[in-house]
Amino acid sequence: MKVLHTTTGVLAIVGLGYIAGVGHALVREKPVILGVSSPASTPKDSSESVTINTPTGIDEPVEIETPIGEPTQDPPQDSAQESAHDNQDFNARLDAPVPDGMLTLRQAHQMWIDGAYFVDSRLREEYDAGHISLAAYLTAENMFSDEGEAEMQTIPPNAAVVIYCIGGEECDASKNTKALLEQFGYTDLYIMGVGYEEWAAAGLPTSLTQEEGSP
Amino acid sequence: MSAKRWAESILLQSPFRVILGGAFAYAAFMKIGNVQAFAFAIKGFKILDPVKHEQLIISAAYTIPWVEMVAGVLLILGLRTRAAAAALGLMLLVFIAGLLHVIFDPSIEADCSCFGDMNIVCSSKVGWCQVIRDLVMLIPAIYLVWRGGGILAIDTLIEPKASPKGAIDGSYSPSKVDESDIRA
Repeated sequence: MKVLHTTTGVLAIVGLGYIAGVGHALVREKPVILGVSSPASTPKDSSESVTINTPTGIDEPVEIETPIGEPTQDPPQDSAQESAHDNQDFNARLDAPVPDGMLTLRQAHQMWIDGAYFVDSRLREEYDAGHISLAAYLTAENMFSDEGEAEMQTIPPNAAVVIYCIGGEECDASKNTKALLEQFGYTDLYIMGVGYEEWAAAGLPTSLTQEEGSP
Repeated sequence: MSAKRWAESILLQSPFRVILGGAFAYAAFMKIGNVQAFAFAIKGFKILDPVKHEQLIISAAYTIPWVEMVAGVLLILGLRTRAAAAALGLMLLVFIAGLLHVIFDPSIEADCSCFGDMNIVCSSKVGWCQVIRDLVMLIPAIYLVWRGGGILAIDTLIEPKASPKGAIDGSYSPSKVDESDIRA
């Protein structure tokens, strides 16, 4: 008898939870999405060009021809041989293969130079330990909070936005953030195919503090 | 009611109810505040194919926090305590299975989102810490299913009075029936 009483109670609790969940879904302003229906919109082939609407007040879109030029940071100059080796290594990092539809490190770096906004979608502790210079922190966790709204107000909806996380095909956080930013009206969104660690390992600009804006 | 029963209620059942129910109600509150993040977290566990089962994942993201909330509040109040504890115990078992699925598949790197974006005891990345935390939480859930909510639970106030003295406080046994109770 006690078992039957408990079982019916469990079913009643699940039923109540379900009804409350349906009610919640009906009153929620934005529908919950999983970001699986929108295909990635970024070019992968390095022979294609990337058009960026720069967010720094420049009216005309800037046409960037890929493959993008030489790295802006000089490798160490200990000797000519080492330098050549380092340069080769640096270029290999910049052109490391990425999943379809995502930016290579070289493309992402060029977009950073040309004023695209960067969004970090990793865990908060990872962002605090170091992030791409000038990157905003926006994830599914904070996007609907005051912090997230404040971050989004610094990024114009028509701006080019590059989203990154730990990199690779398995990095869902970037895809999730991209899907949410699309909901908020952002249209020019890109995902960096490699992660922050690769960016930092290539010696590209990083920061520990939270800044606003684009380069 | 016996002193032993009072002691059990004050020292075990009531704290278990409040702590377990409170933990789940708080976790539910955090998830309800950001269902979107919880839906992404469920997707991140890669138990269901998000393309084929998109609506099921979204339904789970809405339903799980509310079931946690209902069961957590009922447990705190001590109303339908056994059912609430059983519901939470079953949810803990499902959560543990999900965590083990992620732990034993090295290609999955999932964020727990157990308490929304708050990290309690463990970090946000899924690991053995969350399994141990859920196993620890399973202990009071099982205890409450076994022993009920105790004297301070609302269940005790509203449950029908059994005729023989001692039926409520657990001291009843046929050998202890007083003839005067039966006559009354």
